[in-house]
Amino acid sequence: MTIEIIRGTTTKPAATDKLIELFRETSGLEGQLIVGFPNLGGQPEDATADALWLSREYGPVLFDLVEGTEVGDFERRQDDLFRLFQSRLFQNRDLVRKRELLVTPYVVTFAPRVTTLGVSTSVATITDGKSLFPEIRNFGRQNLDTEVYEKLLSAAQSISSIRRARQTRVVQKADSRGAKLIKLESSIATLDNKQHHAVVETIEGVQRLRGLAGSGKTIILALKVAYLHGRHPDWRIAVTFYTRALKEQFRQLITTFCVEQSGAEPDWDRIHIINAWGGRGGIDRTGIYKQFCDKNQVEYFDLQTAAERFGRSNAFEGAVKEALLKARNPLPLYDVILVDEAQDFPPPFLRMCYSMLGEERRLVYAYDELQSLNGDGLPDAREIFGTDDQGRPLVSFDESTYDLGARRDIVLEKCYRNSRPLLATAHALGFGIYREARNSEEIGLVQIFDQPRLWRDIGYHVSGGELLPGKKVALARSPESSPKFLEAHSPSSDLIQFHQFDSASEQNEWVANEVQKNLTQDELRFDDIMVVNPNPFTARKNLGPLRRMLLDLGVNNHIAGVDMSTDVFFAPDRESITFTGINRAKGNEAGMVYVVNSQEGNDNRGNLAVVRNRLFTAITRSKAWVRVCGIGAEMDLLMQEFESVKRAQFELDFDYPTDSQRERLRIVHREISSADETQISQTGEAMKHFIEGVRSGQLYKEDLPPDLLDQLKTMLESEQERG
Amino acid sequence: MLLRELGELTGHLIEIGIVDAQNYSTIQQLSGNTWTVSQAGTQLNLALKKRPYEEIYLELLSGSSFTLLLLDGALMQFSYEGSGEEVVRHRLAYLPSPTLLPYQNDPELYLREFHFVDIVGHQVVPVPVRFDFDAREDVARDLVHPVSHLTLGQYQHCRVPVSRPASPREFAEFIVHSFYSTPEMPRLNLKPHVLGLRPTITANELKTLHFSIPGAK
Repeated sequence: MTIEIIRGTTTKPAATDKLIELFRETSGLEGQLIVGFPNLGGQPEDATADALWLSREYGPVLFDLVEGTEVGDFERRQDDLFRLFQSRLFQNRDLVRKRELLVTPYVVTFAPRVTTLGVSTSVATITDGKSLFPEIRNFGRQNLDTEVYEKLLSAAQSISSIRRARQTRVVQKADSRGAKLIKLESSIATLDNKQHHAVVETIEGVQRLRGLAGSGKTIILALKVAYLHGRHPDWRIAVTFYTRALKEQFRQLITTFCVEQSGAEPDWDRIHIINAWGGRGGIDRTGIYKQFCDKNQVEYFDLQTAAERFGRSNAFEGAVKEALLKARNPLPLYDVILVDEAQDFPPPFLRMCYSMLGEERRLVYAYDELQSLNGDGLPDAREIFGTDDQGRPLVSFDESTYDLGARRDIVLEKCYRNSRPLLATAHALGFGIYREARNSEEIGLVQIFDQPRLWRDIGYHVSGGELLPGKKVALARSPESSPKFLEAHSPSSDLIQFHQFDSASEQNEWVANEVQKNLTQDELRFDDIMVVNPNPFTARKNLGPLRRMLLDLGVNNHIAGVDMSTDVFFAPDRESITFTGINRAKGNEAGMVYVVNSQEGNDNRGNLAVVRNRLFTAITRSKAWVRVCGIGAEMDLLMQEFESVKRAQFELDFDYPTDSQRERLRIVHREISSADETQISQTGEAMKHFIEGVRSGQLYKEDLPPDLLDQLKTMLESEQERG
Repeated sequence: MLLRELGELTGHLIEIGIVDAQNYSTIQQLSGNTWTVSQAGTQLNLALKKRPYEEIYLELLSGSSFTLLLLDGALMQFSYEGSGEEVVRHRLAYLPSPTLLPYQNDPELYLREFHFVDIVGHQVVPVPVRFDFDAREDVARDLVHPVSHLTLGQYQHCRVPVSRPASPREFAEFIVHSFYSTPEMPRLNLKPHVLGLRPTITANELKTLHFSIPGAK
């Protein structure tokens, strides 16, 4: 039996530390101690629960902590806690029998610095460090059975009925797709234990939240904001993100959570939901970077001027770096900054956020290394945040004794959006697990994690072989990481399908007809359907004819163009199907996803990692069904990969690459800019001409300058040795 | 004919990827044999007349009162009013985004799904363009308020004379050729359906600088 301690944020550090210490020193305790419990609701002047201990033996014990020697009106505070917590428990049918609660909440005031004891009154108990557990024992054991205890845990932790209630669905057929979505949506409406802990755990310093798409990162961040705001109404909190569409989502979530927790709207002077960059024109337009420039009086660049100065693909990174360089001693602006989609930002942006915080450096960032659409994930903490003058990293995710009970590095391995077959297929394609080697490649794999342990982090377990470089391995998802209910609603042959067509117009015709069927027969709503073109550069050109075709069938549709608020584009009452390229698809999900022109770029060599990441992202937009469509021979190849993963029962069965193979993958399939691309193809052409010339006898290899020839020879030789 | 021309031009602009969203125009029969062709929310325009342009734009966008939404955030509105076979009034508006860079200045920005497109400096000077036509009695005044006129930039009394009313196709082609074309792009060539719009320009107006819409092809 062990006790699990979850450390949230508190305004009473000394008493909190003492309480944690006592719990850790006392043997034989079990259950969970949550320190800095989220508000229980009630009126603003009501007391808040400083800690809650849940155990089978004693049931729920709430703590009222006293930091100094003044105990104040502890009886009233205890009454508040009892009243609010009891009413929360009463909301749960499973905890009530014959009008009585099955558990009794206990409340105790813990005042470690008060020396005169014996202030217990008939109803309230006050205690110091020595007498805490004896007092609790006096309450008497409740010895809850497992079922009641589980219900208690989930009742105590239900901070919110999370999912934003979209327009209610009306379905007539019990097994239509629409009906299935209703069931799915209600199954994922509550937080699980781990998600709940991730909300509460607070540390001074940098905290990292990793998880797959659909693991609840955005919701956890929004809840964290509400939680921190509730506990520290005076803190200045900023939330930032990459996709603008998230702004509205955050605003709604935070408002809901604050209202649920404290009955009041959040104070928007204290919580800023702002863009990363930010334009001119007041608080609605401002961003992290813009504020940094204003506060520290350094030059601000907009997109155009930054692109001119630093190049288009480097615009934001260049601007951020320049500002950091110019502001020698950045001034603090916020008490906490939370960053969503951190994988999409250039690393200096996180350093900028870090530099805008007070001494406590409370930075929380959520990221998904697999969703990085630009080919590579974030570098490690030392590289992002730099080192101090002694060469020690400023930020490290190794645990230190201080944060016992609050993790610096939180991993959410459970994915609530994509079913197991869908996610495994997306991973298989994203990494090229079942891809055949082509051209002169040694292996078919496209990319792989640097550290094999990351597979475990994202919810795979080894079902065969060994997870080691150079060994054969089989990786599978478990019901813990991919809940059964996500796939139980439909056969796997319906969850995910691949379709190959001979021409774009055949593909479009098929998709248009299916979409129409979804609307007329399957009881899906317009906002349940999304059509994604994985290549952002060809999206408009490719999607145009299909959009027109649908329009001719009388189905209205739109393309998610310039970042506009979700209100305009994902509004449920808007009877229009969303079309999008991959960049605008991010952060959004739909029940039925059509991925079209999936074969584009599949014959690339360089850039293939990016192409595969896009495919991965496109597939993982779906919370129920996905149709991967494409044209021609390249689509055949993708279908073969899909057949392989299906045959393997959605396990990833492959030879784990050796370190040198991994290194080569990184080079071969790396991301290349369009300028590089031109250069590579030009060089390739020149080489081809040269080789053809030598072959046909028109040229001699000795025509090349001797030192050039030598260099070429050395390069090729060292390549051979490595391979 | 009006609806057919509108439908075809919408389809075409969607296919080439310039239009992001659209609202269907409908025909409404009013008293007698008068009718209107427009999208929902046309009345909103009048209510908003005195407000700052940015507010007007956002209101129209969020209220979905546009016929077409173009890829750089510009809105297009087409509304016609008629009696029997005759068009009596029209209001054709092009309302560019007050905060986004015009497409033409940087097409890649919009064609390649760039992020941070909304982070623009002082480069944006939105110039709304309106073709108005009103043949009702007692509205027009020679030179001062031509029956067909062009208004630039929401200037209250800006009414450049125009030779005759414009069909949806003529207006769309004018906007696309002027604001959405690059030298490499093929020019639009849509099929006309609305024919027989007669000249309205007066002899005096002809003597001043004016816009002339050519006769039927």
